Amino acid sequence: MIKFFLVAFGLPWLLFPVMYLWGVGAWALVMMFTPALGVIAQGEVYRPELRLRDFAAFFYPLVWVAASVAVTALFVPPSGPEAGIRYLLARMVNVPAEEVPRDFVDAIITQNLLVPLLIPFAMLANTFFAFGEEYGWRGYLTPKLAKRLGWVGASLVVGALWGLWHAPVLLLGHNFFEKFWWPSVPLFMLFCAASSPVLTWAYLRHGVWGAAAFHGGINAFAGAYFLLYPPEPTWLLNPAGVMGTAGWIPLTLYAIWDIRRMQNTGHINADATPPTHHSSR
Amino acid sequence: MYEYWLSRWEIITIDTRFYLPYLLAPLALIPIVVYVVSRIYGIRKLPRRAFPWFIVAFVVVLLAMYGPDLTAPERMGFAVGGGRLVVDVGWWGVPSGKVYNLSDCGLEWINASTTRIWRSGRGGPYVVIGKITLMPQVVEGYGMVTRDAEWILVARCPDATYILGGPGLSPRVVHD
Repeated sequence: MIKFFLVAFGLPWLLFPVMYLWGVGAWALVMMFTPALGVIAQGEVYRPELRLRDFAAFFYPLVWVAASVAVTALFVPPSGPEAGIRYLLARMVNVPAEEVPRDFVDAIITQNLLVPLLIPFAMLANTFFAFGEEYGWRGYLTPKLAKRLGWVGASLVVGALWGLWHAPVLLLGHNFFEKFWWPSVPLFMLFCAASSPVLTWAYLRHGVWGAAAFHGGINAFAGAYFLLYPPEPTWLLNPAGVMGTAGWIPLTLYAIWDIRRMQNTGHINADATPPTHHSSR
Repeated sequence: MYEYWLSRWEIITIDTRFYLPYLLAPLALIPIVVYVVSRIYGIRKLPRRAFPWFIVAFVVVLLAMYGPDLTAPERMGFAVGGGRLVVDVGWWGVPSGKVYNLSDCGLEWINASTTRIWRSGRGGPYVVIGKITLMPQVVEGYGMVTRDAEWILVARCPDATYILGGPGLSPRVVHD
């Protein structure tokens, strides 16, 4: 596993100065393929089956967004799309939120209303890039660790590692909008640990491409949260923050229950080696 | 008299210089993706029919990058001084061929360091063209402003408000 870790964790840090100079941008997409490169470097390449029906998992994270919004609504009333979009625009150009002209906020809200038209493209693009990660995290590392820790334990450990792996982009402001704000790393490790059992569940049900579709769905739909809540404070009212993490809890509990059920009924490959093809269950 | 003119070709070259570092990421991404997918799925040779698709993808990327620039007029800009204001842009809603007597327009000068430009129209690395809003002054109008402009001229003319800025433009040049 050493080569896997060296490549998956080392390459993003090699990219760090480049991303610092020119912005994260498309370099994040390059980074998303480093776990897959790690598996190749380790010499344990496997071939996941590509089935169209597994792409349905792309839409499952809508349940998580709804759960996060519901949890947040217990504490804070929703403020509607204007406040969140105004806040994000203001953070992008580093001005006070009240300085963003109304016209621009309205234009972005209109663009957001048109977003469903882009769903087929978003599904393909997000799934494809998330595949670079899921091939390593769920398809390779989770089954490896599951041999020793069981699926749930392995999911939690892989989740924490997966969150830590994001450190180079988190420290550049990704997800939490603050550069070099160190709490972003432990916060995102918690987020990833909370969501990881659900991704493992998606992997066990739908294979690596299904987990990739699920992961792509998280990336695609997370921003919908900001249509109801501006991320202030970012550690709390943020799909990647405490409320987003809390939104995973009911889904994670279900995933753990279903994984255990699958184990008991023998629907999981018990020796947990990466299967050569990923059939459902 | 102050004049500032910009050609379509200048816009394309400025964009290219600015975006070049950002192109490195997609250029690095393509071989990595091809390598990973080919290793996982054991693709040793690309089928011949894949090449036209690569060319199509390349053309689409080029069009996405330069397509809007190609719709720019060959030459655009403005002139102010000698009692006249000429606005000749013809892109992103900014009119072309407009000539005003300065005495008909209310002029206001805003130091660029005291304002932030918001635009609906063409942004990019060097020049903003289209509907412009200056904040926190809350001034709206059509025009073009370059990034190196020190002063921004707000001209409230009878049929429109223009927001204009270029290298070296200052209140003094209007009277020269």
